[in-house]
Parts: sequence; structure tokens; C-alpha cells
Amino acid sequence: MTFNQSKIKVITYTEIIGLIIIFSTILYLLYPKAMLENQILSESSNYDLTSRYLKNMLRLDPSNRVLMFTLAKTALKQNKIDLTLRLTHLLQENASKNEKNTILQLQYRAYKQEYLYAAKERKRALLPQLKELQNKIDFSLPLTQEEQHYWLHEMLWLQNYHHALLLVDQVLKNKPKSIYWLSQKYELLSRLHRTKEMQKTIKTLLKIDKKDHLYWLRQAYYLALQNHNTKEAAYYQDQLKTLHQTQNLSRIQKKIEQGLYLQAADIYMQLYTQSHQKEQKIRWLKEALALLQQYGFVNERTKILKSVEDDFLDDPQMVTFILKIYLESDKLEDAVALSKKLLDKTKLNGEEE
Amino acid sequence: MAGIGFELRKAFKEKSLFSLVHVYGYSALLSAGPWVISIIAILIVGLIEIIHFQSDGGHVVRFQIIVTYAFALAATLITSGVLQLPFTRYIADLIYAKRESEVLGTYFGSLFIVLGIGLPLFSAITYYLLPDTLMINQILITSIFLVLSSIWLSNTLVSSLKYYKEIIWGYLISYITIIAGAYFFGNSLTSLLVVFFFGNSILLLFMMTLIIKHYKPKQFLYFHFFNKQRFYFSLGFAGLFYNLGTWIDKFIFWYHPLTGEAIIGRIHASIVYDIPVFLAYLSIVPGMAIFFFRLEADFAEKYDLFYSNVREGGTLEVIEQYRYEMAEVLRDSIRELLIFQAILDIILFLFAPRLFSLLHIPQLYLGLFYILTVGAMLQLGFMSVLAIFYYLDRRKKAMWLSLFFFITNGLFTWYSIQLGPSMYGYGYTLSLLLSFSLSLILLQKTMESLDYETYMHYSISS
Repeated sequence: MTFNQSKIKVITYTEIIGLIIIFSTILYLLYPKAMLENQILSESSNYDLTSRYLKNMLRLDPSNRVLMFTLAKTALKQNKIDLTLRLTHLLQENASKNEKNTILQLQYRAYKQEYLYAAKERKRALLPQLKELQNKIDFSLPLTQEEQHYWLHEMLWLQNYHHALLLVDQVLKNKPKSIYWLSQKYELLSRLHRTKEMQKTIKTLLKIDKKDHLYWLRQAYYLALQNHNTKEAAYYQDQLKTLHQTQNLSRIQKKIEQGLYLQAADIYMQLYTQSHQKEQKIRWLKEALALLQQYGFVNERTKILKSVEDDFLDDPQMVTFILKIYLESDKLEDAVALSKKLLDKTKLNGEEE
Repeated sequence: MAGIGFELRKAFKEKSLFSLVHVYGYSALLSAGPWVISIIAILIVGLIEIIHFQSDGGHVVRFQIIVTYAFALAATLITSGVLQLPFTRYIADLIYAKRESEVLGTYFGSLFIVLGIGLPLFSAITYYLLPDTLMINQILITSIFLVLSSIWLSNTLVSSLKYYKEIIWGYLISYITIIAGAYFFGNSLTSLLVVFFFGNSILLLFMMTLIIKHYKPKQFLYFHFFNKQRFYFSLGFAGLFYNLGTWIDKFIFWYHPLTGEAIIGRIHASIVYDIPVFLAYLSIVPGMAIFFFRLEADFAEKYDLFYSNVREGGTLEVIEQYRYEMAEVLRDSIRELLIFQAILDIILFLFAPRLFSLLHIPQLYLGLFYILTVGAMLQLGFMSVLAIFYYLDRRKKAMWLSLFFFITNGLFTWYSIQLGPSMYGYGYTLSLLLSFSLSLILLQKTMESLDYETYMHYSISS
């Protein structure tokens, strides 16, 4: 067996060229420019790394405003206030309306960070600057939800209520039924003493906010009293009573469902105490007694009656009703005591006559 | 490491799944075990500091970077760089000439020279890099440089013995000591350095014990190895250039103002490059195991047959047959290595985004990681061809190839940084694509003329 030289091949030249072509293609396909840019623009952590990449990318493409904005935002997150401000000043040139607004927001956030760590005197100097920047920001331009909350919080911090109201109105244009923003508007209006608008806002809130309806009714009632609008105040008072009653009745229902009959009877008696009209009082009392009877609480029934019998000494029908129950429950002593009370009362009336 | 080939072949012949796992697992441990164990241990030390001592990570980062520098400089400048290959060759020559009694003396002589040159050199480097650091830390860092250099030299010799399991155990015990030390005492930079020095000293003593146990001394110190006529300068330069080539891209990224920053004194690191390159190197461990097995088991067998026939006057036909079989093994090994590593890289690329988020590694590293992983795969190929050249005693070719790799990696890396972040990693990878391709061409040429060159070499020698 003989071996010629051509047989001894660790690798052929064609294979080497093929290898170079394959690896070059892989490296071409892996070229990460687009991926890097996307990742950098969406990176929300690792600011040191992002900022280093951004600086290098900007070195090659100094007019790339998107990168500059991203770097300014990243620098802000790294607490590099000077760099943020320097970049925002550079970006101011030829800035569009939207860009100007972003620049103002970045500047505000940078100065705010400086404020947090500044000495007293510098803090004092920064406050008007911060307020001025707040006033310059155009809130009619789109903001994210996080930004809306941030700016409201910031303006409340600087007691910049007028401008905060502008922001809230702007947000409400897109979310007219937002309870949170309507309630913020109400708070701001109350701080600005704009009662007419407060009334309007509270009416909307009464319609929308079912959860805190009672709170807004109370607010509406106090507001009417404050404005000396007695008619409206009386209307809200009635509403409050009805609402209160409805809420208590649903509480009673829940207690009955849970088997807490004594607590349910207690709520009936609370309603009894809160009612001013006799018919109403009798209604709640009878409800409480009927409930206790149904579930066999004999002693509790008579205890309740003992506590309220004095309210009905002038009402023969009710006295008969109470006596009947005492006798049914075998509470002769209580029946005798009530009879004595009635006799004493009749005697007293006779003497007076 | 010829003995290991026999052991691996024996285990592989059992043809069971367990024996396959055993063979490749063992190959991985022998080829990459020490540096993987040390890297993992240093990472665990970092985690211990953050979790156990609730540290902000400041001194841990400084410790990890100092250790990386120690590895880099010790590897590049003296031991692995200049001495490892000539020392290995010289020891092999002594064993071949049946002068084993000189081995221990040569080892101690080399150790003496390493420490003699290393002490002033590393003291100066430490002082230059860390001028404002505490004196105690400077002394500790210099000591770490020296002990690491000694470990590498000892590792070369101890690997030639049949104490494979003992070596791996030695590394494990040493680094478990470091981890335990960091857990109990490592609450400052100084204590971490003490623990690291102490752990490595244990490893050094362990290796020295194995060497002394194996070789009986005739004379305590021998310096023949450093004689001008006996020292393999081409191997020294090959090792130096290869190690410089391996580290030059990291140094450039550390010290380039666009990518690196000072961490402690003049010691720099690169937030952009360090993590992806470290992960990319980890990806080649399985490939290294496969090639190590192929080289030590299959290639070594054919190589022995070829040269014993040349020495003992085998017929041309038999010699040609073994040359052909050697080329076959090389062809299969390189192909197997590339295909296996490519499949592994594809799997890695598919799972990398999820893996990164699981390990809380920024996704921003992904692009660079992909490119560096391709580069690491090419470096594995290049490293393998260099290993074949060392086997075939083609020292000059290995030296020129290493020099080529060093220069191109330096130039391309520097230029890639100028081209912007999207080009990071391309310098290193392109340099390796060229170096690997060139090494393959030279390997093919070497194999074509192996008979002629071998006969010429033997006729000149005799």
C-alpha cells in the first residue's frame, strides 16, 4: 500500500476558504448595532453600563438626538446632574415643541435631585427655579401615567395649585370619569376657594363614585352649608339619612346571614335612637323585637322593651303592645312596674288638671 | 501528559454511557479544571461577601480584580508565558534521556529563578499599580504573584506525573479553604488577600510534596535549563506571545479611556468587556475536553507509532501509513471539535437571553457575548493547532503564529474600539479567525512534508 502526498489532508484549502466564509457570515449576521440601540433605548437598569455605551455611540454620531436624550435620562438616573444639564442645554438648540418639554422636565428633575442634597441656602435659591420650570412645562403634551402622578405630587409639594389644576384638567380631558383625578381636582379647587367649580365637581363625583358616595354626600352637605344654601343643604341631609338607613339595613342583613342576631337587633336599635319620627322609631323597635322573637331571645326582647317603655307612656296602643309581650314572656314583674308607671302618670295628670 | 492518554483510552474502551461521561468529564477537569475551579471559587467568595457580610461589594470587586491581574500578569510575564513550554520540553528531554535524577534539581533551580526574578519585578509592578495601597496589601499582592507563578511551574511538572486525581483534589481543597476562609474572616480586602495567599500556598506545598515524592534528587539545585544552548528560546517566546495575545484585548479594554476605568490605584477594569469575555471562555470548556481527549488518547498513539518507526528503521510504507493515520486523527479531531462547539454555541445562543435574565446579567451584554463566544471557539481551535505543533516539535511555527495572534489581536481590538460599541469583540474574533486559518494552512503544509522534515532533523541530529 502506498500513500501519495495528495492523500495526506488535515484540511484542504477549499475547506479553509469555506471556514473563513462561514465564520465571516456568522460574524456579519451577529453584528449587533440594531440590537444594541434597541436595548439601550429600553434599558431601565444598569445605568453605568448603558451610559458608557451611549457615550461611545454619541462619539461616533454626535448629532443623534435620540441617543443624547437617552444619555441625559441615564445620567439623571446615575445622579450625574451636571452631565444631564449640559446635555439638555445642548439639546435646546433646534428643539421641537415636544423636545423642549422633555428638556424642561429633565432640567426640573435634575434640579430637584440637586435640591435634595443641597445645603440650606442653595435649597432656598433652587425653590423659585423649580417653580418656574414647573410653570413652563406644557401639560397639554402627552405624559405617561407615572409622569402625571409625579408632576401632580411635585406641584402639590411646591403648593403650585394653579398649575396643578391645569395638569389635572388636562388629564381629565382624556379620563373624564377618573375618580382619582376628579377628587384631586376637588381638593385643588377647595385650596383655591373656587366654590362654584367645587359644586360642579362634587356633583360629578356623586354620580360616579359609588364606593365613597357617603363621603361625597357629606362634603356636598358641608359645602352647601358653607355657601348658606339651605335648600340644597336640606336635600343632601335627606340623602344622607336615606343612604345611612340603606347602609344599616344591608349591615343587618349581613349579620343575620352570619347568625349574629343580637348584633343585628342592636343595629335596629341604633336606627331607633337616630330616628326622630315616632312612626319610624316604632318600626325599628318592632323589627328588632320580631327578629329576637324569631330566634328565641326572650330575655333580650324584654330588656329592650324596658329600655324604651318610657318613650311610649303616652301611647296606649304601644303600652298595650309592650304589656302583652311582658305577659307572653312571663315577665309579670316588668308588667306590674309598667302598670305602676302608668298609674303614677295618670295620677300626676289628674292633680295637674 | 502521555500517560493520561493510555488511561483515557482504557476507560473509553468500556463503551458505556458512564465511561463516556467519565472520560469527557475527566478530560474537562484535566484540561480546564484548575482555572474553572479558581474562577468559580473567586465568584463564590464574592457572593459570600455580599450575602454573609452584607458588604456593598466594594472590597470584593477590588479583590476580584487584583486576583485577575495576578493571574494575568503571573501567567503572561514569567511562568506560563516564558517558562512553561521550555521547562516542559526540558523535563521531557531529561526523562527521555533517562536523567530523571536531574528533574527535581531543575525544578528547584527554576523555582529559584522564578522567585529571584519575580520578587523585584512583581514588587515594582505592585508598587506601580497600587501606590497608595497599604504596605501590608502591597506585600500580600506581591506574594500572591509569586505563589501563583510557582504554582504554574509546579503544575507543569506535576501534570507529567500520574497524579491526575490528586491534582484536581489539590485544587479543590485549596479553593474550598479559600471559600471557607472568606466566609469566616473575609470582611476586608486585607483579610481576603491573606486567605487567598494561604489557600494557594497550601496548593503549592501539596504539589511540591507530590514532586518530591516522585523524583529522587541527585543534586538539590540545577541551572542547566537556563544555559543558552539548552534553553528553548523559541518555545519561551511562543508561550510569551500566546499569553500576551490572550490578554492583550483585555488590557486594551481595561486601559482604553472609552471602555475602561480605574478601580483601585492604577488597576483598571472594563464594565463593558469583562463579564461577556469571562462567560465566553466558560463556553469552551466542553470543547477543550473533547480535544484534550483526542490529542492525548488518539493522536498521541499514532504519533508514538510514527516516530518509533522513524527511529527504529520502519519501512517507508509503514511510516507513510502512520503519517496518514496521524493526519486522519487530526482531521477528525478538528472537525469534531468545530462541529461540537458550534452545536453548543447555537444552544447557548438560544438560551442566553433567558439565562442572562435568570443570573441578573444585563441583556446589553448579549451582542458582545455572541461575538466573543465565536471568538473563544476560534481560540479553542487555534490553541489546539498550537498544541499539535508543540507535539510535532514545530516550535518556530508556533512562535510566529503566536506573535501573529498577539499583534493582530492588539491592533484589531484597538481599532474595533475606535469603530464604536457595535464593533466591540470583533477585533479579538477576527484576529483569531485569521490566526486559526493561518495555523491550519501551516499544519497542512507541516503534515505534507513531515517525512522529509523528520528525516532531515534526525539525520542532522545523528
